[in-house]
Amino acid sequence: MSTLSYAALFVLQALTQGHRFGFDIMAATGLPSGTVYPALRRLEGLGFVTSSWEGDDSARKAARPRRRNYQLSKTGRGQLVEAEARYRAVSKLFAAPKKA
Amino acid sequence: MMLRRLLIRVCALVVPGALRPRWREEWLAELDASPVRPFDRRVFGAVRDALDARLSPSTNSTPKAALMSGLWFDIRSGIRQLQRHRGFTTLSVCVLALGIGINSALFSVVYTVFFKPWPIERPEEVAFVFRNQFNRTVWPASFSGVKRKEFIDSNPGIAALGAYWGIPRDIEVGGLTERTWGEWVTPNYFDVLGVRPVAGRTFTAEDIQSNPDAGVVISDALWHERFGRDPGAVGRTVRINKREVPIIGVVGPEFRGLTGVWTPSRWWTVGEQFSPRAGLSAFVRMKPKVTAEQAQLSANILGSRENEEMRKVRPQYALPPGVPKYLVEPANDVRLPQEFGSTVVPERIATALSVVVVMVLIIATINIAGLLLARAISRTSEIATRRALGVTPLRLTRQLLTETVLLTTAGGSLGLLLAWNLVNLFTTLTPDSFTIDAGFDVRVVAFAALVCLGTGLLIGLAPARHALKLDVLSALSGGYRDSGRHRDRLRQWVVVPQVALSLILLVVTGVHVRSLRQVENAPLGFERDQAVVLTLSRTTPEDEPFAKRRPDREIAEEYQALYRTLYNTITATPGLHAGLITALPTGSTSNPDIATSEMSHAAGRSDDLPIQRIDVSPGAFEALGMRVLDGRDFDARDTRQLRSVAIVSQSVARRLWPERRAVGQRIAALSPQQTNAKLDWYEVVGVVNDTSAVLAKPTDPARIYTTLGQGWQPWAWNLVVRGAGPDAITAMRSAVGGVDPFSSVTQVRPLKAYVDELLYPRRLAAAILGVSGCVGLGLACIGLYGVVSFSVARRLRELGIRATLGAQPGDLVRLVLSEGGRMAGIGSVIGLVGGIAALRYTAHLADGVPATDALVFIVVPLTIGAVILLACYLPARRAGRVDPVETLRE
Repeated sequence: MSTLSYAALFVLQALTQGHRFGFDIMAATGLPSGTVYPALRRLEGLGFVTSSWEGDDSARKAARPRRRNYQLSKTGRGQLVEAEARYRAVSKLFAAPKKA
Repeated sequence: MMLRRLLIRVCALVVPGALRPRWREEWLAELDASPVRPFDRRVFGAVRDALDARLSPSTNSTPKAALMSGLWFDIRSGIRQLQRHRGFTTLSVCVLALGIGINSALFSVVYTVFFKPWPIERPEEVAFVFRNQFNRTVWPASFSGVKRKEFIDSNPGIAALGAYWGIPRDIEVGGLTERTWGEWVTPNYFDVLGVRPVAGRTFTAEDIQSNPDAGVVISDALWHERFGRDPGAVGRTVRINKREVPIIGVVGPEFRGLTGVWTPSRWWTVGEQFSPRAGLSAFVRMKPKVTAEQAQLSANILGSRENEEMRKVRPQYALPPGVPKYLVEPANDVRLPQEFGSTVVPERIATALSVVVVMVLIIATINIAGLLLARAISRTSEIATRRALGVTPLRLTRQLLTETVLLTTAGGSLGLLLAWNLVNLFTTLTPDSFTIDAGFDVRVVAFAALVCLGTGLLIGLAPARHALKLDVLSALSGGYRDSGRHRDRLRQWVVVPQVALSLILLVVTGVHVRSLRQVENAPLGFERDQAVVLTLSRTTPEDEPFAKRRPDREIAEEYQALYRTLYNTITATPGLHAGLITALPTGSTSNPDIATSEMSHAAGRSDDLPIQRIDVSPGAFEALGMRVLDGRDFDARDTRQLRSVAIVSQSVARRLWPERRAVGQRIAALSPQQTNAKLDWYEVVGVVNDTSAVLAKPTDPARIYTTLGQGWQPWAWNLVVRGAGPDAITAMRSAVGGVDPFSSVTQVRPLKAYVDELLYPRRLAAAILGVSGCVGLGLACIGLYGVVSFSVARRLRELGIRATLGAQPGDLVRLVLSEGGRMAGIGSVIGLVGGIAALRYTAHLADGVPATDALVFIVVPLTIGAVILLACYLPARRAGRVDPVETLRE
């Protein structure tokens, strides 16, 4: 079993609820940017999270540069389930994003 | 927006190259995509993120980088933990700062005053040579040039021998004359000591009497005060006793001569140039790896040979068999080289001081241990949660240790600041006349920090050990409760020793401080207040070495006439008590004469009473506030034309004529070196009260007084004036300065200043003891407060149940107070027993310290009890305010 900090656990939880970009995850978890990005990088290194640049079209439509998109990997999902089992309260800590 | 983008670009420079483009692009995109306020915290998070990217193991593959990144993580996590528990952090940092700061300052001062090696090269190789006299006194060994050579030749362990003699002289720079201490030295003095000049040069073998360029090496203090540290001072001249002497060099500020802490030397000249016949006190530099004991063995051979020769010629001055003539004492064991066996503060008090300071350190250490231990116990559930989240015990240990190190670093830094300020304060308060230069000793700070850090690390392991043993499930489900065992351990190992130690400390401190006060208040036999001492000086061209001198009789007659003028001048002002005296009663002599009564002499015996002979003018006793107990004071009738008269002190009268009246008896005094059998007899015309030196020793000689009016070449260095205002002193100063073109007043100081100066080291010792005692008590109170607070916090549930079952707030306060009281009680009993034992041990260390002191034994425990109860009462009040409903709901 890999070591997961609180912050990492929160980030995984945020991802599973559909928050995909760094600043969105920050808003959802309330964690500062200096914590979220390192956590994302660490989780990516562990293979729990994958990331990719969003498509040019959607960026152009929104008139802004491309953002980095994060998703939970299969391993990450398994890890999250295991961690949640150990610490059930985490899943109820924050809400899922509102559907547009 | 521009600024934010710029910040991201700057931060990107920190990010490792491979990751940099992605990092920069992602951050810029997020800033563009989200509404960001001008000083948004998220933007500044980029700094931390960039640092993390640099230090993170996921972006750094080398083991060193991985270790560093782990450390970085631990530090951040530690800082967060400490921020979260501000109360604990503040208390711990304060205790650490106090512990490290005060201890470092106290150690620095104690070390400087009592143990600091001489500021010379390899001081462990240097030793002072003393000489045992036949009358059991020990003096610095005074060697002439031939004797110095003989001493070296007979001692294979000695590499070189230098010599010096401390002497006060008037030094004149730019029209300002000042009486200062300096040293007559051998040309190799600085070379033997390994003291290098900071400007110019020191002496060479050529600087002997034939060298017309007699030079002076000056101290940094003189260089600073009179020349503003101008390098051009070398080559200029000063006047020492009215003789022009070129400055040839300057030594650094750390070297202040060998004459001891009382008399920092401000100049050095080659003794033979100033006084060709002067015997100078010897010191030696031993060859590497030769000990003082080995050098002593060789000196013993020379000493016993000389003693045998003396036994043949003058047996009365030979030493008894087995008594070494020469004593080779390691320089680091000698604090006052001109007074054998003397210490600034009695050596044993110095030892007691060191022990006291160490005790404060122990109390501080236990205190820190207690705080950390309490914290460890209170963190059980947090540690359990971390374990549940998968943190390995090793990682946990590392994080906990990092927290401790952070705490110790913060406390240590503050402590360092505190120590720095305290040492500076000490230096400011130290009288200028002392050579006590309490530098901020880094080694001392390092030692204190190391002890606290070591304790921190050791105790920091306690929660880790706890974490390894922890039953995670039970702890998380709330089933884990602080067992009484932990509280007991805290009480036993943290509070009880602190209370006991601080009690011992305060009892010992109280008794010693009281005895030091008794020393200070002991009657001296003279009145220190309202008397002013004018230091007189007289140097004529005839005092120059090799100068042509008139016959001795002519010079003596000149002095006799001068004395009469001087005496008439000082007695001209009505209502003013003034008198001349050769040696102030504040000090003693290590070079006594011996006295005998005519009765004993007639019976073929000698009383061999060690005495100090002091010449005074009529009126000197009155000026000093002494009393004539029998007979009369000297007066103008006592001239050389009449029989010689003397006044003896009470103890001399008692010792020599126990059953008779001293007045009318006859007494003779002679120097132990005097070999002629002819004795000069003095008729005793009066008896005055005894006076004792400020730092009197039991071996101090009694005093007899002769009058300057009957002196062969009368001169006194001190004019004591009582009851004169500043104007009268100024008038007296110019009047005395004007009696003769060669005499002057070089210094005007209250008599009290001489006394205070001598008492200063003892006052310092008392202050150190007092501060140590108070700090120890303060720390013990903090410790007790912390432990009782912790105990209340842990027992809130129990207290809530008690409140529900009907316990009144007063009952709860009493319950908690009784716990604190019990701890204080156990500690006090141990402390009192320890205090009695410590006093029994320390009482014989210093003169006048009683084995018990009822006042201290009553006052100290009562004070400690009151302070401790207050420390317990504050957290106990919290127990009284417990809301049973709230507590039970939690």
